[in-house]
Amino acid sequence: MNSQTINIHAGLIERCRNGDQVAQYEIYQLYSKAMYNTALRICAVQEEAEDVLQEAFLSAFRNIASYREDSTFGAWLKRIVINKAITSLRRSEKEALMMEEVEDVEKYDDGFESVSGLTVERVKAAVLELPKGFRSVVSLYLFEGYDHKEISDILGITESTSKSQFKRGKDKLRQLLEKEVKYG
Amino acid sequence: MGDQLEKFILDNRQEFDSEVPSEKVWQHIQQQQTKSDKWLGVWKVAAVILLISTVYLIVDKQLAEQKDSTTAMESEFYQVEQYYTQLIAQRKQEIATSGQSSLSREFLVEIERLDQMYAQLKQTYKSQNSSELISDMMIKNLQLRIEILNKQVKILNDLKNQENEANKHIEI
Repeated sequence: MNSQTINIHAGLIERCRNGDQVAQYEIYQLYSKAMYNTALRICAVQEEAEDVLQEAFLSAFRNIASYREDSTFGAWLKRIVINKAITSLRRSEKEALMMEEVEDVEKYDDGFESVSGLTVERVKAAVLELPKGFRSVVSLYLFEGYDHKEISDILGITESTSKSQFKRGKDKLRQLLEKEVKYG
Repeated sequence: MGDQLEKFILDNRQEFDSEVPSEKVWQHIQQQQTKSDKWLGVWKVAAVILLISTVYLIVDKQLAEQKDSTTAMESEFYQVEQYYTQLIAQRKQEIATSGQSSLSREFLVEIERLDQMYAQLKQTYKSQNSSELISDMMIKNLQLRIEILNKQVKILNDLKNQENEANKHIEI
């Protein structure tokens, strides 16, 4: 199954390697939406996410020779998008990614059963409201499917920091969702 | 696991990717790419010009050096030639004034033949852009003539000495 998914766009990718602009546009059409949403969940600002998308695709087309078919093209591209998004996030504000304070963590450590009436729109809005340090870890783990080892690589933090940031982030997210339910 | 939120996100993962980037993004990507293509084109042209001018300068320099070495070789050869022709003229003079005209004439005919050969070689040398092989042959020709002339002078001198001896004998 894996080798099949990897090679789905092999022909297109090959044409991109040769600088075929039509193939590049097809690749853009195929991946831009998912990549944009990934960038947006990390950056939270539309213009910033669009800049990230643009930079990521340009970089991918320029460096397509370095894409080895040991992962899917989507996974390779997504990693570029995430790296650009994190860089952009760090550039946009001077505050360190991991320094945000949160209320007592243990208070919320009882699962998510209490939150009712979850909708996609509500969760999306709550994610964008998260402080950016939490937002990056939470979105990488919950939405992009990376594990803490991979997140620690991407963000340049330790695995345990990734774990604790994720836990705090998720609690903050639940807080935001509860607030939405109560007052929204 | 078993987390309600995590499950909800997993179940509705596709729906979370609902935002669409603006058209501008692709336009900018295209613009940037043609820009970089243009620069790539400019760099290619610049590289080719640099390569051509470098090759031209190297070839030009080598040709100039070759020319220098050829002219140096030529002038050296003409010095050698001048030295030998002077020597040959001197020997010829000595033989001509020795008085043994009948004997000398045969030698001088032989020398004349070598002279002609030499004139031919010199013509070939000029038409063949100062070939080293021809100049070697010319120098050998000159040396051969000197050798012959030297032997002739020696023979004439020996003859003179014998005559003197004989004369002394008669006087006694």
